[in-house]
Amino acid sequence: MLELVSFLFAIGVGFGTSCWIFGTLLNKSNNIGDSKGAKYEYNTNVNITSRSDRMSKSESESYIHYHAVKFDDSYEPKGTDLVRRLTDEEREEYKKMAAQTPPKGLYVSEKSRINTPLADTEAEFEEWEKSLESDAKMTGVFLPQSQPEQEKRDIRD
Amino acid sequence: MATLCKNCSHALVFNPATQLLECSACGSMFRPEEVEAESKEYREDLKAEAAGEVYGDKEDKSLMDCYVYTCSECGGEIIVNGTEASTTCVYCGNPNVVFSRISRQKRPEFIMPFSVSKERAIELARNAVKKGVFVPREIKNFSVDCCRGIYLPYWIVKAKYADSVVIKGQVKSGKNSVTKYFGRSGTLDFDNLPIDASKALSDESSAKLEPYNLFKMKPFDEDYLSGFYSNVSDVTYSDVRSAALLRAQEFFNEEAINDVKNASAKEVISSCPSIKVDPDMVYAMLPAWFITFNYKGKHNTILVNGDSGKVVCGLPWKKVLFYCLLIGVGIALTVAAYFVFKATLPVFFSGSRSSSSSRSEGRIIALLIAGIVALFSTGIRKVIKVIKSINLTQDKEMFNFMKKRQG
Repeated sequence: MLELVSFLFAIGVGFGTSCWIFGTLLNKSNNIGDSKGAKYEYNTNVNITSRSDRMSKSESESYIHYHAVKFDDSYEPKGTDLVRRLTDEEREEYKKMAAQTPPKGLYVSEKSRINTPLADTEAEFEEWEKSLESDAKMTGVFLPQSQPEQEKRDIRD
Repeated sequence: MATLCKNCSHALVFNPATQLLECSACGSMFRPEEVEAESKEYREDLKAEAAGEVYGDKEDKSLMDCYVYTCSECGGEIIVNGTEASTTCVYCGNPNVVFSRISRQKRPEFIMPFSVSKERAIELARNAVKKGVFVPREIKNFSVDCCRGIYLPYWIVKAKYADSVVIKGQVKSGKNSVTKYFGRSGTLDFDNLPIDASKALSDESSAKLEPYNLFKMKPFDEDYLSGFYSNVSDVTYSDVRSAALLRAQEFFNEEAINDVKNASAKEVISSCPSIKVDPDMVYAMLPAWFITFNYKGKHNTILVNGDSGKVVCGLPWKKVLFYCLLIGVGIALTVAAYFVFKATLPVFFSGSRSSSSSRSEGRIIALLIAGIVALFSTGIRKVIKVIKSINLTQDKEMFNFMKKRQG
């Protein structure tokens, strides 16, 4: 029994490592130029506006609902139209429409979204209970699949 | 219709090495900006006509994407497809530009002239393929079947992206690690992201040609097309949005994962992306060399960025050598690991232990099993991913995109 278990473990380690080594070698040898442009080449500017750390599974399921933002693309060209250069009039019209329709959140949370600090266990528990109550009332794009049951909170490390 | 030499009226061809239009008949050289082309207005009316109409058989499906254009030098009929904007006459070898496809609203705003010549592109390709351990000897000294410089159409895109992601990671908790979830929301702006505007060329392949130094782009002039092939845009807004969304998602996920500290094995498990692409896009033509060679009856294509000289290709590999080495080393590592496990595992399976130490040993065994399964699946996935990536540039569609042209 012990020999069988050792053998199975050894096959996993041996062939897994071998595949990883030779996959890397094959990539370096025969897959030339396998890279795309980096972020900085396209003046990419990433702005993280909200952070929540060490969430439990139930919190993670509602996180996106509270924080996601959808852009209004109703005034943009139809998806099936061929891309073309805009005329001056179309360009002006687009700029006006874009200024009038800012992005909308799926659900606007009452709490501040920017760099939310971790509260103590009691305060978090109270907030969590409040969010459960409001879950039942909201009509967002992503509804929670079921009312989460009351469960003991994990003790944070 | 080609730009003609002022001295001898022979067709001028753009030379990437000198960045000048050169006449092969009398050796004269001109800067594209200096060449006063005769009025091109009448040439914009010279359209490529559908082959079905020209040859009187509109029902023939084999002629569906074929158009007939008349060579301005010899009067020969050139067959072009629905998106070609410049080509070479198969009869007289002179360059021809289909002006009606790049006129007025369809005219590109910018072009990046070739700065890598044909000879230099082939030299770069040869240097790149020489080094590989698993590259067959015949390929290391390949003979070029066909080499074409093609201006690829691109839309230079500006967009705003917003996303909210949940990241799963392992966090240390004493001796163990627990699964925790991290949320990150934010926005991402980019401008100057080039998106390939040709349906015939896959986005994966064209993205690998990046980066292009967009500062080298010049105001569009048809004279730069002389001697090269080119295509016009045939993508929809939906195609561009999807491509931009994928790229933005890659950038954002990378930033979000890097933002999560003190966790390992991080991966994004859910997200809600949204993108707004500015429809006022910049239309440009960017250069690429397509070099093909034949290996065991199959066509392979090497791409070379016509500006930076970056080589992109997935080369055929020595399968027998690869699998023999993989299995041989796998067996050797398996034997070594077997003796290690045989010596250490009895420590965990001996009966006389307290319940608390049994529990922790049980956890260690569970972690060991999870680690081994993860290592094995990672190794297999890596090999599969590399093989798929290699096959991309050996794809027949890539070859047809390059080959099915006149001249």
